[in-house]
Formats: sequence, structure tokens, C-alpha cells
Amino acid sequence: MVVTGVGVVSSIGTGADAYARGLREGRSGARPIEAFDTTGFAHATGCEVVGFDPELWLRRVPVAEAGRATQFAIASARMALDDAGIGEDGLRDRRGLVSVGTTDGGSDDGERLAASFVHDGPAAADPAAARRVPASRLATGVARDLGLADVEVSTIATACAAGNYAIGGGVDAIRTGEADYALCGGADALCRMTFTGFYRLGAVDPDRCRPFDVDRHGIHTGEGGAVLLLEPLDDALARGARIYAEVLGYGLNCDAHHQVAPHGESVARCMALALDDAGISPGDVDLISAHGTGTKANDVTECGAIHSVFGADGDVPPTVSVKSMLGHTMGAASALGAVACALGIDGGFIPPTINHTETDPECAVDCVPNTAVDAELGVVANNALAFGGNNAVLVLGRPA
Amino acid sequence: MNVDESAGAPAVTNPVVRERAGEIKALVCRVLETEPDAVGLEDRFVDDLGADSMKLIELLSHLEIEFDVEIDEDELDRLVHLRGVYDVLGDVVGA
Amino acid sequence: MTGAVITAWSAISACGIGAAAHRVAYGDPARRLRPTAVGEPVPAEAHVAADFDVTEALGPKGTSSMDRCSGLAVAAAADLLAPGERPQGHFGCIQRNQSAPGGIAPPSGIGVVLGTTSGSAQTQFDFTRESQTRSKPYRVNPALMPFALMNSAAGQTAIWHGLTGPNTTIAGGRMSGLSTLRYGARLLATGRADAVLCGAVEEYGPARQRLADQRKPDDADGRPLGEGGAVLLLEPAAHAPAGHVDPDRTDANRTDTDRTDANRPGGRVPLAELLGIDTRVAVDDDPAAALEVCIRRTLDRAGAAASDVRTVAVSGPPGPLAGAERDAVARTLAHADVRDPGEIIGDTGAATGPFQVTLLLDRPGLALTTAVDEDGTVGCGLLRVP
Repeated sequence: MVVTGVGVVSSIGTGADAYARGLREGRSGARPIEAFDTTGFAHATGCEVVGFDPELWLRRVPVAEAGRATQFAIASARMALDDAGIGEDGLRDRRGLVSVGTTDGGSDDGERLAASFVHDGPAAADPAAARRVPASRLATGVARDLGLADVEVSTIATACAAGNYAIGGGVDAIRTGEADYALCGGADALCRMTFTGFYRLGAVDPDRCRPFDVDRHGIHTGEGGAVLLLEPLDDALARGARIYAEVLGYGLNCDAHHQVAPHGESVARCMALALDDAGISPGDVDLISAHGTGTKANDVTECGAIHSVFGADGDVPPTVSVKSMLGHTMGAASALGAVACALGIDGGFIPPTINHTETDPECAVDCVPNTAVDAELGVVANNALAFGGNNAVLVLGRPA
Repeated sequence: MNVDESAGAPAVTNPVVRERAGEIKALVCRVLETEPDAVGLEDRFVDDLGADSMKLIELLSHLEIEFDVEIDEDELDRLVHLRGVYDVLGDVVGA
Repeated sequence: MTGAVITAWSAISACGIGAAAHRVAYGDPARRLRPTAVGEPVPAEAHVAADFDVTEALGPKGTSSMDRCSGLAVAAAADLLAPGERPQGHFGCIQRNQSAPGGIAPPSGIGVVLGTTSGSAQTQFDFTRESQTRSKPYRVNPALMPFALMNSAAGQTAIWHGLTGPNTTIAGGRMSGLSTLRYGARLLATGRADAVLCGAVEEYGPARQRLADQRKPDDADGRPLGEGGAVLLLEPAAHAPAGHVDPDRTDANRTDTDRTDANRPGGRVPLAELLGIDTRVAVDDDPAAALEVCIRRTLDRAGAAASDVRTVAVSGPPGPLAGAERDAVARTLAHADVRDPGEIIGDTGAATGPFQVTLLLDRPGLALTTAVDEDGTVGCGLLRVP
């Protein structure tokens, strides 16, 4: 099974080419947050998508019926199809799957409704906004806008690992023969509630997002969307498609331990499950796209897990965090990571971990600091962890 | 639970904290989901009462809300037992 | 054929706690409760799960900030994992949360797949209200934040019961029943889990009521909201053959010795075989026609005739969609007995789907469950009840 198209909305570039350039240049999407009122917060830097025009992408779903995350999902899916050189008409007679991962879904609309109720009472009702709140709108919006009737749709709400969960769902539906193609990924819009929560937990870096750095202080909340088109290899070859990467496998598990603190042993188990599913050994992996949020706890725990799977220091492949550039885009994060991996395999480069000064000895990974490097990548693992102990690891490889 | 809670805590000199000591202890118990009898003045929240870092941030947040004060996150190092809570509050309440 | 069977279920709603309480209310209309007035701050009637209190059910530890969605999920799941065992008057959970000492639970092979509309609307509202009304916007209770996320119910279910298998939340709205069963069956088919808890929960609270009222301002005659959760235990058919225990399903033949016996269901008699699921998106805004296509295709694939289907459970969406769903059923399965859980427990949103399934298990033969969501998705699932 292979990746034949990618679509991206991000703070460092929209569309596969612009996103790839952003990754190669080590661009930062960080800027003062404008998506919501940040009065009263001592600092409020985030990775916001600016200049996104939903009118350019939404053809059938009225813009007023689509929340911002749904708009990102639709735009990303359209770009993925354009990128793959497939028109939506070419998908109508094939059974497909549309799966979009998200943390907040329509919560940005939900919190605006809540705020207006708190300040103005029930008179300030907004039926259109209330209809945008159910998260199922993300995946259904993609199908509706592309006019795809015979598709299995699911919005996967497994928080910050949702993108990889959604991609995994597509992988299994194609493996079992229940789908001929899968449009899968993730989308999230900046949400005041999420920002406030991480801020209160002391997990937002006031200055720069610097995963694995000894001076890191947390995440930057971000937003965006990413969708990958997955197809069976034979179908892709039959139509002479461009193939970015082969999907080798994935793994899922749950820490079953703590709501917010990841557990290294369980994260290691998830990586091992993914490698097993892909039929490869740790030594085959050339790059890890880490969850790498930039919080003290995540990076130490995740790197510890990586060391336990990949052995002594010398055997650990380069381990990068694209969140240093994109911020933490929540449910979109691992989908954006997966696209970064596919682009890296296709373009022969490793995206850098920017804002890096000194590697935390407790992390002890080669995070490819600040500058992208050229590399022939055979196998790449893309990690995702989430509150609730939800882990998902995706393994991509260079097409044969 | 009453002002006597601070009677055995000679270090509590801030009159507001002395006055509200029982209320503070009740708050600690609510956050730690523990019975008041189980919380001694120097019982350590993490080692003795099973709290974790999330619980300590929760405690800090509730103290800020109840007393309308700002408590620096570095103070988490002192919010390790009830006496520590009294000390931290003593430094910021009415200061 | 999905290769999966439903071997147990549990539920909490206005009918009470546990499968037995629900069977009583399902079987005897006289035992069904009227919706109760829920008054301030949003005047309404609702079918609340009045017998269920989170702290009472799960104990004081780990529950002080827990939302009702998560509480309902943890408690409903408990029934399936440790039948008859409720130490200390609680639900008998292994509480591996926040303060649990030591390592993680051993690999259990049991997955959790729960559906939702948008998580705990009440927690999200409360969090936003705190931020909007306190002297600083970050003066919020941080413990609410993980409960405000949509994956909280599934994550908590795993944490409380030590379930380390795949743990997935599907925001499927009224399609959640079908979506979680299809996803769960696929986890079994691909060997990612040995058993899956599939279900959904929906809490009642003023925040959800307000959102429902705003979504449908013209639907004054709409059905009262309902609260509850239902969880189905899904296992591979080969592991749970009808009427006897598979000799292969013994501990000696298991290669993974880490698995704990306490958490492994085994040798249960199937309550229903999951024959097939099909869903579509009504891109032309004709949900009745789309559902009709799903029903016909599902019957074709299973080699079943429409006349073989004896019972149908509908999802009863708000407004004219309910009529569209009934029309599609009438056009395809005119002779079937139609049941609607919403008439008994109110509109339980995402939880409607698993509740529909629980309404079909008392009558041997083929049974169909249908779903229509306001977002334009439709679908059906075909079951064979032995």
C-alpha cells in the first residue's frame, strides 16, 4: 500500500510543495495568537495559519456550515487528490474511506457559543455555530464536498494521536479489502480551551518551541490539516501514479496508566508493535519523527522509550520534531508528521528540529538541529502520543 | 477542621493563612481526594498521600483561585505538604 | 461476514444500571419511566440516568473532576470485565489512575472503541466559563482539561480497567454504534485485539441541552434528550462459538503468558453474529434513498432476503430525518417489527446506536439496525440472533 498524494494546510506552508520547502528551510510558524482573545495571559505565542481562504477550496459545502477544522480537512483532501492527479469523479465508482483525526473537532465554535452564553445569556444563540460543533462534520464534510457517496467516513477523536489513528484506520480498511482507497489524516483549528489548558499545566513555552533542548518549556499550540491518499500498490502502478512512500505498518496501544503523563514502557511497546506490523527490525529505521512536543515530561519519556527500543546510543536513528516548526497541531500533528516523513523519503531529506541550542542529556538524541540534512531514507517511524495514554506509531518506507 | 489546624504550626505567622487554615486543609483534601484525618502537617503529598505532579498543579490553581493570588510555578517545589502550602500562601497573601 | 460476534452487553440509562434493568424496561412498557423535569438553568424534560452517580459508583478517588460521560463509560465497561465482582460496593475496577504505584498493566489484548458526538459538553462549557469569568483567564481547574477532550471516556475506561489494547474514540454522532462495531470488528480481523468493548456514552446536562436547543430551534416538539451509555463486548466468532467453549481457547494454547485471566472474557455464548455493516453519505441530500441502498446491499452481501429480517431498530434522529429513516425501512423491510430506543430512554445521541443493538437481542433471527445522522451519513448493520 502506498501514499500517492498529500495535502497540507500549515503555518509554514500550504500545499505539498510549499510545506516541503518550509520543512527544508526550517521555517517557524510561531507568531502572536490572533485566533482568540489572549488578554490576561502573560504570553501567547502559537502557530496560526494565516491567509487561509476557505472559498478557494470548498465547492459543495457552504463555508458557513463548515467549522475551521472542517475547512482545513476539506482543503487538505482536495489538495491530496490534486496532488495524486485523481479527480473526485475518478473515485465515485470505487469504495473508499475518509478518516480525519482531531482533538478539538468543532470545539472552537463550541467555546465561542459558551463564552457568548456566559456574557450575553441565551439570547445570543447561534444555530449555525451549534450545528458546526459535532466533530463528525470533519470527515463527513470531506465526503460531502468531494461528492463521495459510497465512502466509510469516520472522525477519529483520539486527541493528539488522532492523525496516526485515522491513517491506521485507512491502512486496515485497504488491507482487509473493504476499501479501494483511503483519504486519511487530521485537522484542528486553534482553540482557546486547549491553549488555556496547556498554559495552566505550565506546558506552553513563552518564547520558542524547542523539543529535546535542555531549556525547553513546553509546546506552542498550532493548527492545520493534512490528508494522505492511500492506495494499493497495484492500483497506483496501473495508473502510473507518483509514489511518495510505501505504508509498511502501524501500531496502537494504550498506557492505561495516567490521563496526561505518558509511560515510557508503553510507548516503547507501541513502537515495537508498529515495527512488528511492518515486518522490520529497529536497525532498519533511518529516522524517527517524534511526537516531540517540547514539554519536559514528553521528551524525556519518549526519548527513553526510543532508547529502549533502538538500543545503545549509537543505534538510535536521528529523531526529529516537526512540532518545533509547526507547533502542536493536536489531531493534525501526526498527520502533518506523516506527510513530512513521506516528503522526506521522496525528496531525500530530514526535516530539522529548529530553535535548538543544547540537547538535553536526558533526551540524548541527534535531533538534526536547526538545519535540514540530505539523506536517503529507507524506513521512517512517525510517533504520536496523546492524553488518555493513547499511542499510535506509523511506519513508512521508500517505495520498492 | 478549624483554626486549630494551624495551632501545631508555629511557622504560620500570616494572619489570613492562620484564619483560613482549616479551609486550606479542606481544599488540599478535596484536591488530593483524601480524608482530612489522613493529612498531617508534614505528610508529603506525593510520597505519603499518593499525589502526582498533575495534582500539585491542580492544587496551585485552586489556591490561586481561592485567594486571588499569583503563585509562581517554581513554588511547586515547596507545595509538598500542608506546612509548605501554608508557607507559600503566607508569602503571597496580603504581601 | 465480519467474523465478529457480540457476547455480552451492559448499559446505564434512565432504565437503570446493568443489562437486567434494561431488559425489564424493554419488555414491559408499564415499567418505562416518564422523562423528568430538569428545570434550571435550562427548562426541559429529559430521561436522565438518575440512579447513576459517578462518585457513588466508582468511589471518591480519581472522580472529583470526572465528567458523567467518562463515569458512565468506566462503569458500564466494568460490568463486562468482572461480572459479579464489585468489591467495596463499587464497580470492581482496577483503579490504575493518577496515583497508581508501579508499572503499567500487562498487555491485555482488549481494545476499547467508543463513540461520541463532541465529548462532554458540560466539562467544555464549565472550563470555558471559568476562563471567561475569573480574574485571570488561566484561573481554571486544570484537572478538567483531560476530561474536556473527546477521548476521555475511552482513555478512562482503559486506565480504570488496565486495558492496554487499541483505544479509539470515534466522533460518529448517531452513526457511532455502526462505526464502533465496524472499527472493532476490523481490529479483531487484523489481529490488533482479542476482544473489543464497543459502545458510546452521552451525558445529560444544561450545556448539551442548550446545544441541542440551538441546533434545532424549530423542533419544539422534539423528543426529550436522554442520558446513558451502552457497551457491547465484541469477540472473534472463532473464539466464541455458539453453545460451547472452543477447546483452542484455553490458556495453555496462548503464547502470550502476560495476559491476565481476570480481564479476558472467554467461552461466552454469542448473543448475536455481526453479519455486515454498510454506510453512505447522502451527498444529494436524500438520506432515505441512501439508506435504502445500504439496506439492500447489506442484505445482498449476506445472502439474506428482506423478508428474513424480523426486527429493525431505528436511530430516531431529530426532525424530518426520522421520517426519512422510517421511509427507507418501510420501503425495504415492510414486514419487520420496528423498535426505537429513543421512545424508552430519550435521545441518547451517540449512544443511540449501541442501545439499538441491545433492543434486538431478545428475538432469534435476522435483525437490522439503522442510523441517520444530521451530518448526512446513513447506514445499517445486520445481525443474526441465535
